[in-house]
Amino acid sequence: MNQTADTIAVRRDPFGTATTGKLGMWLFIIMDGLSFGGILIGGAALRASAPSWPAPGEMLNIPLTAFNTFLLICTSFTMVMALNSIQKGDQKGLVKFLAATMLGGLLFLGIQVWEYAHFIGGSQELTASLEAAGFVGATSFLPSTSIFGAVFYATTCFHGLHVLSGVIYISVILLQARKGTYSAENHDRVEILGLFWHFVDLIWIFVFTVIYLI
Amino acid sequence: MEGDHKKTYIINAVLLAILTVVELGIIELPIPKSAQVVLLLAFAVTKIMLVALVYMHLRYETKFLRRLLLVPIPLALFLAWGVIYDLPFRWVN
Repeated sequence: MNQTADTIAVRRDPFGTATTGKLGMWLFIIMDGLSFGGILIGGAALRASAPSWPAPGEMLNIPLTAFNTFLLICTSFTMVMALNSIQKGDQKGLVKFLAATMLGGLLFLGIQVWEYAHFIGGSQELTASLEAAGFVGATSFLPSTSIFGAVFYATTCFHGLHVLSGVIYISVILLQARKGTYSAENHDRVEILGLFWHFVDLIWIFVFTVIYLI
Repeated sequence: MEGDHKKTYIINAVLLAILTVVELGIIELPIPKSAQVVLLLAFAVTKIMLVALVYMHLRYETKFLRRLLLVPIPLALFLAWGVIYDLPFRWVN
């Protein structure tokens, strides 16, 4: 009788079996998505009113960033595999896949830092690219170089901070996983972490398209 | 959503990688810029849907929650409509 009552209660719940923690993360994702929406729409409006805008690949390294996109897709796969492992009670699998996700995130950040260092440090090649893009006289690519620079750094930096937050978040859950905190019955926090990490990947897909390819 | 979905996750990752490679091909296509933009945005939306539905398990959530996640879209469109008024303003590099 009680079991039937519970089943009816679950069916009538508009959120189904989603836990409050999971709903909290979905709410955060909605709000954070709006923040990114604001930045991307603002960037698009600035682009529409800018006198010039570099063509895709004229200044930004598309093959390198495409690799970064592929890397983030791979980390989404390892993250979902971490959840898949712990759902089956495989704690070693959870630790292994979480560590792989964290390493992927760190590599993504490393490539982004290298890209920034290349732009800020300047080089003959960059000066030529800047000149071809219409920024004559500029030797480095900074947020103050042009409105394109401001949009590029604001968007990628905001996303990069999310990746950094995600890496810190993963490291905390990874430490707990190593201690055996999670099991087949108790893995809600792993699922919530997964939602955040996939959101970071999802946003990058849009950032890559809007900033690098269009 | 409990159970082993390893095969689905692998297929999804491969699909996402293929779509990314196709995107790189689109920017080289000799077609008008507007057509490129439409194609690239369509591919981006497809990839986002794949991540949300498969990796974020949105397809296993209730209809109510899925619809709730669409709430920001009209808000974003409202913002886009709002900034259109600023477009005649010209930035100087």
